[in-house]
Amino acid sequence: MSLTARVRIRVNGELQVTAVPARQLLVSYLRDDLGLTGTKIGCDTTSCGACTVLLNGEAVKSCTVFAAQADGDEVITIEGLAPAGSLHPVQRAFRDEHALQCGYCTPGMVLAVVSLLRELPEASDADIRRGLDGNLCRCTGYTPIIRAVRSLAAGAAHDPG
Amino acid sequence: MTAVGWTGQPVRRVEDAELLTGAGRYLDDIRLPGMLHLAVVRSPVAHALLGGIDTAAAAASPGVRLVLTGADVAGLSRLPVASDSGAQVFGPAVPILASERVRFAGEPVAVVVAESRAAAVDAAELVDVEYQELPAVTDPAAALAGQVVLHGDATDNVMFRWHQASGDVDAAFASAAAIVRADLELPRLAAAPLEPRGCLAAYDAAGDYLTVHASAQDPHRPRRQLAAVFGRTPESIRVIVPNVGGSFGSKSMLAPEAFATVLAALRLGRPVKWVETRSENFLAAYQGRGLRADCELAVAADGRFLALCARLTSDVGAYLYPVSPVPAVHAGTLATGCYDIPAASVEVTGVATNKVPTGPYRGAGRPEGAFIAERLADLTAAELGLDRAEIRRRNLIGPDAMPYRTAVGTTIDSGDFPRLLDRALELLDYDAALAEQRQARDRGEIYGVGMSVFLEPGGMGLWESAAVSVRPGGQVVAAVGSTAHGQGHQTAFAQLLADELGVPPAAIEIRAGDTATVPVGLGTFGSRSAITGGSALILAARELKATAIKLASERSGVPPAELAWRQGKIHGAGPPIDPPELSVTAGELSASAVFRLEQPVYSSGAYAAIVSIDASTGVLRVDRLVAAHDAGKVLNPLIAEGQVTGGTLQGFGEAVSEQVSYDADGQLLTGSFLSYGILSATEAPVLQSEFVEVPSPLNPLGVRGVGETGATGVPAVIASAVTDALSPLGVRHLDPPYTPEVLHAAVAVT
Repeated sequence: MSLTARVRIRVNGELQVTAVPARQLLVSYLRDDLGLTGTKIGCDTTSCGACTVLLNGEAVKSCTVFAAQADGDEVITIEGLAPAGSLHPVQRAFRDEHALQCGYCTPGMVLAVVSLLRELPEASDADIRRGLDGNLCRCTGYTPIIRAVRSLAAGAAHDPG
Repeated sequence: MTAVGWTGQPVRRVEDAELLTGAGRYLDDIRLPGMLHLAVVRSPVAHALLGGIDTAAAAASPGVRLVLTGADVAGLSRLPVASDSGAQVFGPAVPILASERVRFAGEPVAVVVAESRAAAVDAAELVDVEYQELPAVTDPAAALAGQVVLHGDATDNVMFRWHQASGDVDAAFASAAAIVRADLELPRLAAAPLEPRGCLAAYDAAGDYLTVHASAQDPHRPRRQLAAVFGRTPESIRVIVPNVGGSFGSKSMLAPEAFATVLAALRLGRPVKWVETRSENFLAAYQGRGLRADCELAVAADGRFLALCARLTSDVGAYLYPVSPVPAVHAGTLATGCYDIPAASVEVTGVATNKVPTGPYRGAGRPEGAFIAERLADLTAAELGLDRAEIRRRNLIGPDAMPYRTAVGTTIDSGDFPRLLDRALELLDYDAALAEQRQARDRGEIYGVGMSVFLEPGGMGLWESAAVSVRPGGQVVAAVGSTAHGQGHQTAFAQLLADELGVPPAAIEIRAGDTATVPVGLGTFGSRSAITGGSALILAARELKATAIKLASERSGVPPAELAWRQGKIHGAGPPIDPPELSVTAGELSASAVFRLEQPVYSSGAYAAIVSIDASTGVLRVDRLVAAHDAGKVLNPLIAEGQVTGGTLQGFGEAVSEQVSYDADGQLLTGSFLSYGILSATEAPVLQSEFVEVPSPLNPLGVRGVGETGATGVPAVIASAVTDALSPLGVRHLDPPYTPEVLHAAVAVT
């Protein structure tokens, strides 16, 4: 229980050199140690995606990664997605399309979208739905989220749905 | 902008910027100095006598500051079971921590408070509890038979009863050309807000002041509950509701665990936080639905409905929470649906079972009522060989019959149900759908067309409060008792006030969710916020304007009739007057108001759908889903559509996927998102919907509720379409959820 690991993790551009308990999850390190509470916890089975962060640029559920495993890695949380006082295009699209209600799934959902659009800049509606399959939202019915992503996907067919 | 008006515009939400950037503060994001963490020890069995509880090892575990068991809460007042549902209630008091007996798997038995969450969880595993297992009863019918009685001082498992009847039911059944029978069941559902339950309690001994942050639907009901249980004055308690990550009815009352958390904070004099895990939320947060309905409808030869006789059984679970009778009683009052049925007898019985209690979940009786009425309409059409739209048209209450008092004793204020049905069928192109169905069936496909018409009473609780102040420079601060948890009140309420006061929404701050800064109110539930909260705000704003004009008249000598409020200032007595200048207290001018309704405000709507079922896999596909809603005046179409779209997916989940399951021993089988079927983006249907705006006469805004529409209309329309699809195979009725397993079996058997 008292086992610790030395880690060097770059979080939102800032290098953190610290010791973490071996059993500490990345989500707990971000929230409890760094106070980056924008990353949420919605389940304990890696199902909901509320804890999604970018790990070396790729969307990862931070409840499934030990902090110690992120040694040498780069993490972007919702707080680091856009400069303070501004919104990333994905965040703007979410606001414009009313793609959030309670907002609890939103940070993870936004980062999942950022990762999806990096991988598939011309994502179709089917790509978008599949790409967000691991992020649950209980409020919006997903339709506005899909609309928001579609508005950013270059060349995507603008069919309804 | 006053000429155009903010109200009715799709204004982007002011709430979003902080929520999108991670700056929102939900319960678990709040940290107080010296804060401790609480973990709960839960019963692993559904029914047992409690033997000894050994807490020594847990208390000695590193970082542990306190362990509480049932003995520690014995001195507190019990949680109330009374409710204002109108039901006759027999439930015994709800324990905060179990003593003597546990009655559901997951019931809190002890709590451990430690310096870190990990230390509390580690120590909780060391609490040694002796359970002497008893037989469990999980099926409400078996519970009614009474082999196992849950509460020792009772002779049976009945927790509440409700009965309404009027008209000559017996004569109607004696003269009926047909009697249509239906035995329906809606399984238990998990509300599953993405943010689980939690609270953070802090006690200032010097000032004898208790501050509780709670993930709740409003601050004032929790404060009343805390005052009652701890024997404190409400004034010595402050409840703050921070950002809330969804609720859907499931945070209508403080959890028993929250009272244990407050007790720990009072004992220790340090802040204590409890946040449950998702597994605990599935185990121990009250669930929705869980209703059986045994129905008979007397029908004349021409298809006219003559009388309804229905017996509803509500699976209450182990304890009767104050909110537990509400959904089933509500379902009883709505069992006649949108139909003109002259006579009815509806009985509701709430039954104790060894499962977590039930309570409101999105719709809270409205989906159940619509399901009963709409299944009966479809079954009548099948029995008489009539078209399903035609049977509805013959029986729907017409707009000229409004206000209409139903045989179950509820008065529908207004609405045009035939128009909504016609519009939904028009959006679907009903005739074309039936033609396509004939061709599809010729090709051997399983293809169904469905429809539903439903009611959504809103404004429940029937009152709300608001206060509005104007500060120098035109800044407006409004406080309202209704608290949002995703519904966008800050935006919609600011739109309303902007028009009423002639100031831009950006100059308006909406405060809610804190007993220290907002007037006593009821909160957000039952599609009530726009109706009651919005109306209270408008009344307060009008009061403010009247006060300002009266004061300006007294000061200037100009008669009030010659003064006018425009763009936030008083005009007509020389240079425009800034209202705060008129205040004797200086600084700001304020007014408050309470809005009261005589009765609920009824929204209504109709859905239509086309589905197909893959015979080889049982997978259901929604080809079309359309809806027409009468939500009265729409304040913000972006937000209103969001409520409909989100509710539609919850209703669709209820129809095709969601179902809480227990085994015969009372062990939960659906304890995570892996086994409980919340739908994902790949499964979301596309809804085409529109608003038919008929202003309600019952409030100054003309609004109706919109929060429950999707959840209410969708299970019924999918049931209608699925049973229609399967009707050539001889299927008369199926209960939801229509999972691939259920549909595959239905296709295979026939």
